[in-house]
Amino acid sequence: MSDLKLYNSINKINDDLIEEAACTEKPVIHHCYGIAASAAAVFIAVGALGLFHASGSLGKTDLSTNTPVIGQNTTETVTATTTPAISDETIQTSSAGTVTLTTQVPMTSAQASVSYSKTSTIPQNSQNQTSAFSALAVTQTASTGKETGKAAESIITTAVSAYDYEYEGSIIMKKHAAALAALIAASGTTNAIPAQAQTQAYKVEASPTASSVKNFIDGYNPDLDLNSDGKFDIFDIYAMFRCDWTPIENVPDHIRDKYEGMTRKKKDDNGEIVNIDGFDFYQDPFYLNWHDLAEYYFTYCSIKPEYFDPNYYIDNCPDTYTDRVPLDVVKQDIGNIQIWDDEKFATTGCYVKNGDGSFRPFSEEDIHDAFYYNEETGRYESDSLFFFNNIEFPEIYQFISECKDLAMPELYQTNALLLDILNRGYADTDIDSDGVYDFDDIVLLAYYANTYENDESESADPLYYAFSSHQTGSYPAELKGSSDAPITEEEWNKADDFFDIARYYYESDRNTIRFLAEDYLLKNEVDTKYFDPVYYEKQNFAHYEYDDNFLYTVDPYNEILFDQLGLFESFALMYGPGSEENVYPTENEEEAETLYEDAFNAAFPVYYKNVKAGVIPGPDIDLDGTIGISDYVILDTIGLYYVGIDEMDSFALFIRRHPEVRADINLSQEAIDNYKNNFDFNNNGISCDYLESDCMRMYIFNELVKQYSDEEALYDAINDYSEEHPELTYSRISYEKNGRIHQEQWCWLYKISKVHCRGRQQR
Amino acid sequence: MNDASIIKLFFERNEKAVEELKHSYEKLCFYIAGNILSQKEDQEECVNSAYMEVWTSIPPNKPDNLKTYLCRLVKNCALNRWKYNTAAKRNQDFSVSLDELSECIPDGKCIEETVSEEQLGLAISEFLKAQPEKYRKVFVRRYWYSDTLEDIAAFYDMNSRTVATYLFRVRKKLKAFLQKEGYIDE
Repeated sequence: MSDLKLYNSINKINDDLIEEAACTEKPVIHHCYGIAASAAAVFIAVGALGLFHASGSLGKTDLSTNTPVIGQNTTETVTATTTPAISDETIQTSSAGTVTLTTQVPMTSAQASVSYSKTSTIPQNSQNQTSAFSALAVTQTASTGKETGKAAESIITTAVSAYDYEYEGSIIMKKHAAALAALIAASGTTNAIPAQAQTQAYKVEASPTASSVKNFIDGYNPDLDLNSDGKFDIFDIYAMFRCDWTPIENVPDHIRDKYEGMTRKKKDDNGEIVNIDGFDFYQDPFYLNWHDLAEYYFTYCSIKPEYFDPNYYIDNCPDTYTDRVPLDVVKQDIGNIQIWDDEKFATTGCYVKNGDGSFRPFSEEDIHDAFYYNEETGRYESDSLFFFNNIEFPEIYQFISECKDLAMPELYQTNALLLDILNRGYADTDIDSDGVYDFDDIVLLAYYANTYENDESESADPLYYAFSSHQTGSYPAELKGSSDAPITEEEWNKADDFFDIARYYYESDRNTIRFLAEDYLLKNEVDTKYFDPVYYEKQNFAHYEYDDNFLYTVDPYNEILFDQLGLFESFALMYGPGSEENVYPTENEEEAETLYEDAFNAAFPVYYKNVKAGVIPGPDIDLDGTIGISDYVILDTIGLYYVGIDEMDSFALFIRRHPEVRADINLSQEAIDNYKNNFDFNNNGISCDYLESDCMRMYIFNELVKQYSDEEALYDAINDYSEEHPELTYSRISYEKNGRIHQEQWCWLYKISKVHCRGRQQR
Repeated sequence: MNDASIIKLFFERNEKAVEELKHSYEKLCFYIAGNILSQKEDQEECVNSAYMEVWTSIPPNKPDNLKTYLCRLVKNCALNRWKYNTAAKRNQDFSVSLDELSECIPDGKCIEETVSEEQLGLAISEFLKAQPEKYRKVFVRRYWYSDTLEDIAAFYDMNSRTVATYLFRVRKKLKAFLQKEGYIDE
């Protein structure tokens, strides 16, 4: 029994393959939009740059040749000179409508070094100073373009202790490093630390695979012109596919010879095969294959709708392959097709072998032999043996299908293909038929994408159902006749037609909507109502619920657009028209965390020293004359009260627009005023920003831990205190005011944005 | 308890080792056995046999990957048990996956007798490593873990039709590979 021997052999495959398959993670590349709640504060901390102008000249830069493809303009493939290297002409550049913005963010006072002298100046930030505010602020040695407190400055002189409290502070920081990690994830009013001067631009990330291939090509200069026609284009990718994945004897000799001599891996000077960073699970030495090369090509060179049109290859490929299904037979069937969708592709890409070895297109007559009804699943499923023995898929179709499967999913950032499709008029985006394409149409498309339910039977086999009379994507029955329906049947049908086309190219509706929304926001200012959850609630596009701290859509699958409002608003603010008025955080999360960590490491020892020396007040928030657990807990509570105001998550958007629903905070006015006014040590006009709050927490933590056996005991004491004082538990929304039902379970669906815009902070 | 500590307990002949092993991997063991054997009693017997096998084989064996080591033992036991079961007791889904693999062998032909299962296993490992990660993982889930298409689709958050397509493609390529590398007795 050969099948059993084969099965037993498979049973003896390497352990690492078995281990790999046990991991449920898909090969997902980091998506800058998706960050966990626990990281949000850090993100915001670094991202929120406070009230600082973006000074310096602002310029709009074109994409560099190292930049992946975005935008609308496309160029033809380059004609090589002596070597078929990729020239700059193959690199797509952005159109005037696709903006890359740069801005300079100045260093701010909080980054400036702090010095201590016998005199120091301090701005009086408000009229509500208390007796606790008798100490001094530090002297800033540099500040540029920042806004400080508005009141007059007063000069106070004091003596500074000779004991090296600054050093002690640095020791404390290291000692409680683990506690620091927990502290940083807590709350504050915003703007922990401004980033160093940096430029920001709307740029597209390349996948690790595409980058790895680029590194390989740049470093080892392989000859990619496989068909030797003097240029590197899609037909070279196709050639490599034919060599890699189909019988090589069907490939023209000149291509086969070049393929077999092609540099696909390289040894370094020591004779060792090199690893290219970012390569796959096995971290094997880099080995170039066709689909990785395709991903590189689509990312850095060109991506066009015709690459997914079989006619394009039949009509334009300069090379003659031996194809199992003759191309003239295929051409007869597809010659009239201009615009492709999944159904057309499925029904024209399948051929049945006749007895004489010839082929005919698959037809309805073949359904009975090719499919069987599976009672367990309730679906018609393909008879794999029949397909194996009688069906052929033209190699061109295989290539297109594999490109979509293997190379396209990683191009999550690339909207160039979609914009090209729209520019060519393949799909109509005027969903509401008002004569213009605007954000209303995008909203309707998002609603459709959220609401559309894929017919289970349809997904079972598109070939079978392409020949059946089933209907999919119908206007939902519950909307028919409803006066509250957010979308009419006509609009629904137009959205359905749009996605018929879009889904041929993009697997993910989410990405399609994101591309549309971002492209629109890049070029147009929109009414802020499009970022207001209440708008969508009133229009019945989405319904929202509230947890203690989060606003989220009721349907966990209703996340496209409606549960990401903060994300899109921040995108508009960062990159849209007028964005030069805003400031930009670093896009790199790791870099952002490092910046904040560096800033905290620099700030805390100084803060500690200043408190010990009496230069600035200690963190006695509740003004009871001591520094204790109550101050720690209250710091968190008040921080929660304010933390939503400046952020861009859906909750913050809601609160900012509808402050009447914000819950009251159960603290004395003195404590609140103390918090709001008396702890602006870095003189950025904000008391208790993230950096200040974290310094204060660390200080309190260190003072208290001396009273307990260890850190764990202190944590327990803090938790006990919180439980004993439920009045300090703060919910951002007043359920009584809003009349919503509290839900036990909630879904974390929204994303915290990174932008803090000047002039939007509210207290 | 981590694997290294469990192995240490085995070396110390501490019976707690088996308890820890069960605590960590019992669910997985039953999952693997259950994909091959439909009867609960058979599954229990196999899993317990595997624990005994681990106890008697460690030491002197010191596996690099305890989880995979245990899984192999469970699976082998389950396969042996399956062979002895009558047709009526066979797990239908498991039979289906064997039928699928028969597609990888051309009609009227068979695997070379001189090739051992170990040798072929190594060759198939190399073949799989050359496949895209998605295809590779789905293939292993189907033919090593014996998952159903629906299980695989749920495991990787995919569409079951896509799973079937991937398997179809890899089987075709495996067939070509076996022929090209001379593992088919012509």
